[in-house]
Amino acid sequence: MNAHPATEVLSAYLDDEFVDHRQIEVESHVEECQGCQHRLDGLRRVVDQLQRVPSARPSMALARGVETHVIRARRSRSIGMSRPWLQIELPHPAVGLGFALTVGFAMMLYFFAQSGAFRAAPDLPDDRSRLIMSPAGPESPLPQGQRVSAGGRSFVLQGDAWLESQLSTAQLPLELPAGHYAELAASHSWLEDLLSYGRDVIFVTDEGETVRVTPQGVGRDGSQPPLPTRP
Amino acid sequence: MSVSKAISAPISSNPAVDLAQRHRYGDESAFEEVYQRHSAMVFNLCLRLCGEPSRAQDLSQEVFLRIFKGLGRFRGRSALGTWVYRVTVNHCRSRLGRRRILTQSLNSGTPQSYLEDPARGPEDHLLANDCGRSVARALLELPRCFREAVVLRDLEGLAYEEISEVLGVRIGTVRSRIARGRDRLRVALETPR
Repeated sequence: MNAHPATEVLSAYLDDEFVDHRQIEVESHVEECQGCQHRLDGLRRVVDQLQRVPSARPSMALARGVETHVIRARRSRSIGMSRPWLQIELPHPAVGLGFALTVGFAMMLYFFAQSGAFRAAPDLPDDRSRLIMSPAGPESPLPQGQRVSAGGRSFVLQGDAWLESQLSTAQLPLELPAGHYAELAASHSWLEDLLSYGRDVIFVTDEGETVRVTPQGVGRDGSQPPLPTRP
Repeated sequence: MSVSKAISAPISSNPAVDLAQRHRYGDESAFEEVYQRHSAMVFNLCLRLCGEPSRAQDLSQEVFLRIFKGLGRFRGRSALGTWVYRVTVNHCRSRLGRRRILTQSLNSGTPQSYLEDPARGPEDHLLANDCGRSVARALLELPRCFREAVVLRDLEGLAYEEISEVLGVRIGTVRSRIARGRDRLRVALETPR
């Protein structure tokens, strides 16, 4: 060690606070440096004088004063002392804060879920807006008698089905040949839109037949499910 | 035949925690034990930090009241002595604040009972009293942060690590405060008055 050690280093050296090699470094420097030896002696004298300061002995008045304070404090918490199981152990403040944040976050999620912010938008064909003129979405409750336009036709909601306007319920039921239906589902995608409201669709085909279509009947893969008939 | 079951504190492997649990369960001797062990230390620390024996007595009483109220919550994360030191230093800080400390009180009229140390002989005593007063006076003129560090190290004999725990600062800071405090004391004691 060539540089003169700082006072902080000399003071810590005096207290044996360094690990071996550092202690030896300072020691070897001080042995050779008169100035640092002088500084170290000055610090040593201070420490020596501090250690000679007599310690004071507390008087009996302190013991009496403490006793008075303690008796008063004991009286005020006597219930807790006699029933230690009543004493509530408070958790660390960080635990409480974590709990409060978790509860707050959970409540926020709940309210968002309730408001429908996380609900996925229905996967509808691009031309849906053109086909269905209903102001509400597929999930919203629809009043009986609600009218929509789709595929150039006009439908009205009656019971559990969309009926083409000119069709009366007396004309039901009807079964459609499978081949005929597949062709129908493939060429009229707007049927899916109507079915997405959770209602069947009853309409008159171009051939003049009355057809009832259920959600099972409109498969994107072109399958030909059986068409249920009204009981 | 009725059997009354006394509520006893659960036994801990750490004697200090055991003491705290006894206190929590209403054992009066637990606090007395703490007082017997630490009263001299608390009083001396208060005296060195405030400089007035009567004020030190008041502060000590308040410190022990704090200890009485807080002992039940002691969990043994540090040694009991370190915890008592911390309570004392914090209380003195809050009560003394930035108020200027009266340095005359140790200069004149210090009651003999406060400075008596039965472990010393009469000659030692005279020398210590004379020297002790000038050092104690110089100590009170130090800034609070240096004074705390020097008192804990050179008068109370705490290790740097313990001082760091008591004051809530890093060891490097403790080392620096002790060195600067000692250096200022050296200058103060070497300057003739």
